[in-house]
Amino acid sequence: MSVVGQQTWSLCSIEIHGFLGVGDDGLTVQLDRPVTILIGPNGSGKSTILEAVEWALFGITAVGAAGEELRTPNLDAHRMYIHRGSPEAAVHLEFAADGHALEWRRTRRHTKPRPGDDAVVCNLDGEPVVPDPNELFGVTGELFRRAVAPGQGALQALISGDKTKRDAALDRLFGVELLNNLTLGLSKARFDLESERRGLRAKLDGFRSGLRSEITRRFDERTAARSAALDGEATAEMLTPAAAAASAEALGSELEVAVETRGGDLATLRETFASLRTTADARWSGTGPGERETRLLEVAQTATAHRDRWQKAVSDRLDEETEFGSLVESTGTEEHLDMELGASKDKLAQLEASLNAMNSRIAVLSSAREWIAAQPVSPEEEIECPVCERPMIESELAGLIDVVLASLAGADGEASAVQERVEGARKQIRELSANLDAVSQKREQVGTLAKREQALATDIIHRLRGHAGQLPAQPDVVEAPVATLVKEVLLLGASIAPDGSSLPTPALNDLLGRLAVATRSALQQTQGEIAQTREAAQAAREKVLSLERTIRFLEAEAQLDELDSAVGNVELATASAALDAVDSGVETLLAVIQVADGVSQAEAQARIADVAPRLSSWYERLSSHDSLRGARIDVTTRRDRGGSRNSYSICATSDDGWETGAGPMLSGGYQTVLAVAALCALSDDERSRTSLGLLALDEPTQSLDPDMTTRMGHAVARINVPRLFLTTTEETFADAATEGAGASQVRVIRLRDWTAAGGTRTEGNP
Amino acid sequence: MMTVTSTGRPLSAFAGELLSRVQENLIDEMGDAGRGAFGRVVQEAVELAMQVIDLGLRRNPGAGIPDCWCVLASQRCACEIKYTDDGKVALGIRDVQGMQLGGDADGSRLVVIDIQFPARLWVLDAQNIEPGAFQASGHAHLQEPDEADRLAIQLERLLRLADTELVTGEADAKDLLREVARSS
Repeated sequence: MSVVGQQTWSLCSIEIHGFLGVGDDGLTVQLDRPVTILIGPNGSGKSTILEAVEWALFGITAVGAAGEELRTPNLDAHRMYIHRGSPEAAVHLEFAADGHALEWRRTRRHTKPRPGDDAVVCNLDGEPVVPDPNELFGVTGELFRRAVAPGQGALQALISGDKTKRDAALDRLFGVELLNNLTLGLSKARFDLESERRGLRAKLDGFRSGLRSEITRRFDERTAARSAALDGEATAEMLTPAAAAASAEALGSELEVAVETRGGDLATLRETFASLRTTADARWSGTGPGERETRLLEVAQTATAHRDRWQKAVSDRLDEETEFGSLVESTGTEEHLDMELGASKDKLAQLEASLNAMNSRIAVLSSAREWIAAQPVSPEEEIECPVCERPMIESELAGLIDVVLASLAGADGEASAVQERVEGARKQIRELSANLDAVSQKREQVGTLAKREQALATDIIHRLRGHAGQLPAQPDVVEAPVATLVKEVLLLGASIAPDGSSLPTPALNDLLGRLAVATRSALQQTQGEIAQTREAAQAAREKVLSLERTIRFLEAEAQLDELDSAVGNVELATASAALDAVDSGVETLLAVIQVADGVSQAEAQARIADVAPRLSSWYERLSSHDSLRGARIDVTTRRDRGGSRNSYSICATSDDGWETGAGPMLSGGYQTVLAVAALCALSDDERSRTSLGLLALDEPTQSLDPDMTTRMGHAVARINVPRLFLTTTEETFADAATEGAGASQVRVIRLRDWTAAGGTRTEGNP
Repeated sequence: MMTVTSTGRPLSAFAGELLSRVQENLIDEMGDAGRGAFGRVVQEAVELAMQVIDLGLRRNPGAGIPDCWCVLASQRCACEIKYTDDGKVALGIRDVQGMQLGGDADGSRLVVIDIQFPARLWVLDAQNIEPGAFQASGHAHLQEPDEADRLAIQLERLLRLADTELVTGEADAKDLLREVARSS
């Protein structure tokens, strides 16, 4: 339909039922003149009527001081538009333009309060059309709140002491808020993305670094294991599982051990090598020749060392027997010596008896002599012989006694000769006793040596009996001669009497000699065999060691190869590529942000360029200040975390260049003047034009004194717009506006105090 | 089997580490000249690996272009072989001409060994590649995955045979590669 979007519509009627403070009885406002002034006390519902228009068109309204759009899934938040106790809210708008009529109705039921569930009906000249405010009136909710009905929140934000809020309000009024939001959103997204990317990159780099370190470590281990393997018998070609398996099989065959390789499976090979090592070690210790060697060494010890000791004992005994023979030969036998000794002792006894008798005679004679001498007689007198008791001349008797004494006791007397013979007999007895002792002793020594000889021989036989018990039942060809001789010795030993008297020394000696020779020969053969076995075992051990080094290398290589899956991990590579893409995305985002920033700044600058002259003009019209008669608006851009922001400077200016902006330096009233001037200037702006043909100023006289209020009324009433909608609590303002626009152009509607029972009502209505 | 077509054909942990050490060793010995030397060792290794795939490989020794002609799959291609340790290779006009106008070749291939961790191999269709700085990872769509796989297998085999003895001077390294290629 051609009329759509081509006309400037005039809002003719607003009919409200069950919306906010308006009850089910409803409220109808006829806008049949260019200027409509709603006057009423605070809370009477002036703003509600403006909100009803906004709600009808968009389903939501601006809320809060900054006029943010309500976007919430909370049903109660949407339900709040419905008057308390009413089942539904309904607003009906009527527009007219060049003979066309357009009706717009929105109804919201209590049960389904979402805007999407509202019943919205739009009829153009009685025909339904799509209820799209942008299509029909060229107005969006954002533009409505910015340029059609800025609301008290927008006015208050413009004079807020908080510069951030003022800047945000001006951004909103200039229509760059969405662009700024986009910039801020993109900046935040970039920041978040960057932060996330850094975290992921750090994790990925950490993982890669860890993986690289592990690869380096395992590579070094593999290199060391390879060097160790090549230092042994292996060649580079042998360092494969298959070659290791073949080597293991060959060695197993050499050691006569069955091996399992499973085609070079490393675990199996490891077990196989352990088994081969055990076998090689067993060969080293040698259970065959080694044990025989032990047995032969023991026999050899008996047949040589013990035999030597026995032979020495035999020799000692023979020497002693020889000496005994010589001694007997020189001294006689013990029997002979014993007989001689008896004879000598008898002779000595006879001699001693004779000597004693002689000494008795001498003593008697001596006593007689002494008695004669003592006799008181002369030598010629007779005296009775004391011996024979015959009378004898004393001198004769004395002479006779003296002669006898001289023959007995004189130097050559008989007593002396007998004494010498006694001494000789005693000496002979001593010599005979000594010889007898010597012979006896020697005889005993011979006996002792014979016993020792016997003991040693018995010991040899006892030992050989022990050895015989250890010999195998079926001795091999090396050990058989030894076993035979041992048996012969034992057989001989069985014939020896317990006292050793039947010891066949020569025969035993001969057998032991042959045993020693046989044992020595067997031992030489055995040790030769052992040397050969050990050499073979050592060679096998070295091969096992070499194979173990090979398997160590293969294991190290397998451990390194295990990391191939991580190196070739698709997710890892994809993550890395994705991060690269994110890097690129972040860069793109940055570029978009820069473009959006630039557009925002340019848009703000362009709007400022358009609005600045009108702002000054409007301020002049509204201000009654003696000095501050102009106004200026600038915008600069400052970089901030997360992006750039527009920073506005809106000031009242004096003739002499003094400037003062919103804030404590400017009075509240002039701040309001500055804000209203800005709203009026913006509404004049071409970019704010819509097909709705409506401008609503909601209580623009806050903090104004009566003079200023009047001046404001005069001025705003002359705004060039099809429908001007003013709300106020001030009669003065209404009067001034009426005067300014001309009474015929103004419809004044007075609202009564709001009551719970009646809601919002116009005067004249019940 | 490791096949990641979108990010190049990964080389094994062993091959990547070995190549990295060969390069480090050559640079330690020769300074910057070591990079050129490493490039020549890499070229030798790649050409010897290609020769296993195509016995009729024709090498173009010296400063000739392209580096070789080889049938990696079905068509005979003029091949240029490069390596990189930062992801980028410099393609001269002659390099590109060599690949794209290379004699009687049916196609052209740019073979890139990227030894950045993890190392990977690219075999790229170079028919429309322009001279200048070239980043293989930015041209993953040009990758010929089957050819890269085939070449990687032979290259890996060759490097395993050479093993750590490859960490030596340029001449010895190339001799070793030829020796193991011949003996295998």
